[in-house]
Amino acid sequence: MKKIIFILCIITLQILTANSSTKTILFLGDSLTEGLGVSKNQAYPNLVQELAKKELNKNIKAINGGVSGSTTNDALSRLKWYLKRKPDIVFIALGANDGLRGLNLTQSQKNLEEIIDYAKKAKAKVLLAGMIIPPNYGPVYSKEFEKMYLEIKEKYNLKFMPFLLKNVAGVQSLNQADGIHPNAKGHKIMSKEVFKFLKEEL
Amino acid sequence: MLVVELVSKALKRSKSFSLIFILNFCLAIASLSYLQFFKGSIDTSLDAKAKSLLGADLVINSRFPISDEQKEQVKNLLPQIKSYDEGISTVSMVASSKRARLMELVQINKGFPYYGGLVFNDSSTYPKGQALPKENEVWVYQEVLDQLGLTLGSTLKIGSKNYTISKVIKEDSLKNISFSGFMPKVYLSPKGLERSELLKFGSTARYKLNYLFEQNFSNDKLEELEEQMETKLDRSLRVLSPNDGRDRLIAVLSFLTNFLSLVSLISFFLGLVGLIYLYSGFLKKHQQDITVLNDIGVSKKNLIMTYLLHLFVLISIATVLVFAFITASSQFIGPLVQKYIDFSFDFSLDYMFFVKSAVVLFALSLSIGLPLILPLVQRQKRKLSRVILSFTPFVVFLLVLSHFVTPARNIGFFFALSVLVIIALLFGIGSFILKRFDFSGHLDNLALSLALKNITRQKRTSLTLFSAILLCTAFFSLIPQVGSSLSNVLSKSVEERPRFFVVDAKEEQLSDISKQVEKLGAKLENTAPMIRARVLKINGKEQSQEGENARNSTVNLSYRSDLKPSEQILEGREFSGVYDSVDYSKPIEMSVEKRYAKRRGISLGDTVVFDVLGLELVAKVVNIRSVKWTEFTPNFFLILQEGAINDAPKTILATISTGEYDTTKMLLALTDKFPSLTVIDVKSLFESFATVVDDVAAITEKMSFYSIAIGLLMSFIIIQYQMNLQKNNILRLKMIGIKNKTIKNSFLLEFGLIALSASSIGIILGSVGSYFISSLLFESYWDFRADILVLYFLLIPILTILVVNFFTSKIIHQKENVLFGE
Repeated sequence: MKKIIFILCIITLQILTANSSTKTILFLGDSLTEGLGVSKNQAYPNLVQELAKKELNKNIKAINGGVSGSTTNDALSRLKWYLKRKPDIVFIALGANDGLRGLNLTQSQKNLEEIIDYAKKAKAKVLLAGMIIPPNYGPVYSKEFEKMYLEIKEKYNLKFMPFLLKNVAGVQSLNQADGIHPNAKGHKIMSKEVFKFLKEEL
Repeated sequence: MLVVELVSKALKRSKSFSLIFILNFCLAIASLSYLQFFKGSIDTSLDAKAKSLLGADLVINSRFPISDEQKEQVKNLLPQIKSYDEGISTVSMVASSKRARLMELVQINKGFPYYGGLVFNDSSTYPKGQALPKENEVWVYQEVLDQLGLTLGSTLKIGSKNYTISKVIKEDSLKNISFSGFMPKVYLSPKGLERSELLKFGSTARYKLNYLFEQNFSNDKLEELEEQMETKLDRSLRVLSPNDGRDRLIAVLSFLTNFLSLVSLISFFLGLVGLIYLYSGFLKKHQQDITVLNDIGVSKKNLIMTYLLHLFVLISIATVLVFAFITASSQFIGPLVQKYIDFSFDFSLDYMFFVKSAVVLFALSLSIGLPLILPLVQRQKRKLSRVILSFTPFVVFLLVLSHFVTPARNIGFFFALSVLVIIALLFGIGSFILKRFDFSGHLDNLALSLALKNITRQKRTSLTLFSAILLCTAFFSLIPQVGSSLSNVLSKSVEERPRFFVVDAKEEQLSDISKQVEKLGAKLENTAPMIRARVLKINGKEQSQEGENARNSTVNLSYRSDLKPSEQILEGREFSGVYDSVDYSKPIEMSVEKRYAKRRGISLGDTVVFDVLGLELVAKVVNIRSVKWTEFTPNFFLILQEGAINDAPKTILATISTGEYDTTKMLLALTDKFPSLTVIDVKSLFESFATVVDDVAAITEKMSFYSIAIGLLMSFIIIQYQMNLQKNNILRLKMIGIKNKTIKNSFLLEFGLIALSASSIGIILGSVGSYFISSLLFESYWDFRADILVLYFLLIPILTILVVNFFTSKIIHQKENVLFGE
């Protein structure tokens, strides 16, 4: 009997601990985060939330702060809006549209740094996801783009996921007809990679 | 046999009538036939233009490299192929020693495009007359030179390789009339693109298979093929046919072709008025013959057949004459028009056009002949209901014809219906007024007294002339006013449209951007906030967020306190003011664009729930508004009341006006100073649009003059014929001793009064009509043209008086015995 009571206490304690430590993660991104062409439930932020429950038995609250076409330029105002919900973690997955539009990367870096400063001030843990620009943009621009993320990572000593579309980009079966946006299968793979990256923080 | 004999006698006995009738009808159908023929030519030319926009009969487009298996699958679905080409395009940072910009790299292959091509600054062309660029050479748009600060012969860097600019492109038939075509293009040979080493795993590019078929298919047939193929191919392959590009052109030109059709209808109506007038006059004149023939035993059936055949022969002669003239003139009209405007027209003749026209004219002679002939043969007064019933086939025929000559649904139908209603009303009200004010007394002024008596006693003649002149004037004032409103909006010069679109501006950047733009001599205009949201519910009904629906549910919201001049509330009311609920307990007022509302099934008073970046907000539709698409400024389907979502994260859209400033300097200054801004130069987009519209607007204007000329001739014929009918009257007046001057004045007053009153009402009706057509049907502003109104208001009465004066002088001085002889 004592044994059963002890086990029940442990389980109750676990549940209580799990519920009390519900973390809120803000995924601040663009169409890749918003899930353009798939439903919001199929987009990787929601899948990460499900994985946390399934794999870690943890309730986390994922806020999908992705907006199609968003560049680093307009994301700060969105961050300010979402900070009202006091996220514990801000997962920044921005910059793809800056690169695809061939924007000046010095400015993009400045914008990203502003976003990070603001999130840190709000006492949120900042995680950064990087992107790789398609090779057709040319080696010079591609290198500058890669360098931008590395410099930010160094400067803020951030936990960094080098490529958000790892194992998804360029694979026809994982992308929609536009060749840029992942389909539901692609988002599943992305969510696994992001979850692997986030796991420790949860 | 008897019928044929009677018809030939009728033709011989009334030569002058036959001539006037044939001339009148020739003019009526010439206008309709020529304008329809011309419209057909525009369609054919647009088809050709659409093919050169695509460059091929059919194109398969994919964002992934197309596998051999897919190519084989496509090939099996296609008709016999004459030529085949594989094209690739991608985007890349292209650099000079000064700066780098994102540009579109296009691989150009030998012999492609199959339709259209490139024209260079040195006037050489491709594919005819020019070999492909060498491996280390490129052909570029002028914008490439401007943006990179280069000149012809300079070197630019693509990938890690240098290329020499060997040609600068002046015109490119493959340049799309769309926003996707805004990036300056750099053309390379297949070896040149390979040399850049840009296309590898992970690269984004467009892969194209371009096909030219052995058989010359129409664009509609190619569209059918496109639709069939799309169902059979996997989704990564997109099929394009020339109609995809043509649709864009058609959207631009549909207003003009609709207007052109209305002009042709007007000319035809004017012709018909003359025709009915002349033929009923002829029958009336021969009423006695009909009675005599009937009395001596000619059956009613034969009599009806005689006059129907007579009408048919007259119509056929006119038709043959007009068709012969069209055939003869088409050979030289095409080159003449082409010389006049820069648009290649196809004036080749299609025999089906003649067949269709002949059937239409046969139906016309039957439907118009029977109601005119029957009452005279039956020799009894018919009930009004039977008269109306007998004209029904003619009315139906007119409505159907009007419906089919205008491309846009119902425009021709409603136009014809309103003209018929107006004529019916004119006769109804006119008869009532003339009956009521029957003038039987005497005035001191004998001429005026005679004129008034003539008007009131010959009610039918007066009303017919009145209606004919009224319709002429109404149409005269309507055509130029609608035309002017339409071309004002459509061909609004490039200078009045924005030169740049600014995307992704931050709210706090706006004043700096504005200052910078002003410093360079332009204005930052049409700033509009844009907020991303998802539609969750419409009237409580959950909106699906799965698959394609997910894309449809995502919307851009904006907010404003009032509507722009280019917007108009169709239903509902304006916003009540600034939103004042702190906790969103009150629904936000929302304005919805009419086409979006129709597509999503949203009506006035509906509630829509949005997810604005995680916040659920309820909005209530307070108005449905129309937006003039010809404005070319940022517009939104959904606009919310000011104050509700102002705090939400947003980006700002704006435009920069056109003006006398250095546009390259503006573009470079803005992108250097505000590196995160996207600035799109829309000059070429509007230029290609404006050129096509200007060309067709110019033709339309000339065609309206033709229609007006027909109207004038018609009035002339009617007045002249009417004067001929007055010969007996003049003789009678002369015999009772009335002075020539008084007789002449009485006719001048009679016709002058009719013409003046008809012109006044016609001008008003025409202006009202032009207002409705401009604002409702063509969505354009109404351009009130007082100069034109004054011109036409005076023109017809003056012309009438001149014609009447001429004929009265001629008749009045003839000897009595000559008049008797007539």
